[in-house]
Amino acid sequence: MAKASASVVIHKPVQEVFEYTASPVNGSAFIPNLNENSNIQPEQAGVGQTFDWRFNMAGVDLRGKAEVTEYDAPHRAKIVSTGDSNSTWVYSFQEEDGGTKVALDVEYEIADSAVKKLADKLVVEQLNQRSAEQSLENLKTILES
Amino acid sequence: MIFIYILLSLLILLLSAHLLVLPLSKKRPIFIKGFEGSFFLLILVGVVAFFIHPSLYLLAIIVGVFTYFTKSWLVYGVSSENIDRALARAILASRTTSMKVKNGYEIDNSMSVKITNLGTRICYIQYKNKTYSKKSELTKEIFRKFVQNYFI
Repeated sequence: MAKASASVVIHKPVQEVFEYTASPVNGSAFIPNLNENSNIQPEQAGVGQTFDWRFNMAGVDLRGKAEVTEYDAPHRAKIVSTGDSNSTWVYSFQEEDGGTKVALDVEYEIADSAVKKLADKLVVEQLNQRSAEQSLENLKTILES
Repeated sequence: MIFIYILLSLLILLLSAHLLVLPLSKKRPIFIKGFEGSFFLLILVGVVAFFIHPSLYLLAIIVGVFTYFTKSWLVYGVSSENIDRALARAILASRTTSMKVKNGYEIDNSMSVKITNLGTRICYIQYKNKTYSKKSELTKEIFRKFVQNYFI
């Protein structure tokens, strides 16, 4: 499995940062390559919440389903996705310097059918690392200003 | 000269495939925006000028430069109501401040967005920056995603 990780300090209370980040409704707002999360059920965030996702990786549309498997507010949330890419997204939240340190760790593997469409695995890994970093930068922009 | 026309034809085929055929094959809206959109319009009108009248070359340059420098988008396939809705959702998702103005919004006190319905599901969207703001640029990007998520 390939990995991507990033962290950032957001100068906002941990509860507020957790609630925004862990909700699949907001995913496409701060994750650059995530086109949409749809069919989110139930509306209330928490363990067992499921949704359909559509991700654009190097110009290729990947799709699948996901489930929130951990929702330990306001410290940790885990989302497991299956489909064209099987991945695990872990968000960790820690109070730091009056703000919140958010860490994102993603483990993923892309299904064979989807890999065939992608030109270079190494480029994809670099794009995903950049995407993880950009996601947290976007989160900071949204929540702080 | 012939070589240039062959090259331009190939370019327009490639850009048409990328900007028109690809989204239409997925039943998603067409976006003409940014450098590639402006360049596409420039070449398209340029090819028309070749067949109709050389004076249209000037029009090609004006259309291309106008689209690029006014940071406008041409969107085909989504009703103006849905585009309005996508902008309102993008503003909400990015938690930005906004003020309703005629035909659009002013977001984060730094960027105005005006939506003009050109009919037959074609909209012209124009952005004007007062100052640079990361948040308004992010809102614009979220807005693009939300519009592109609609099916034609």
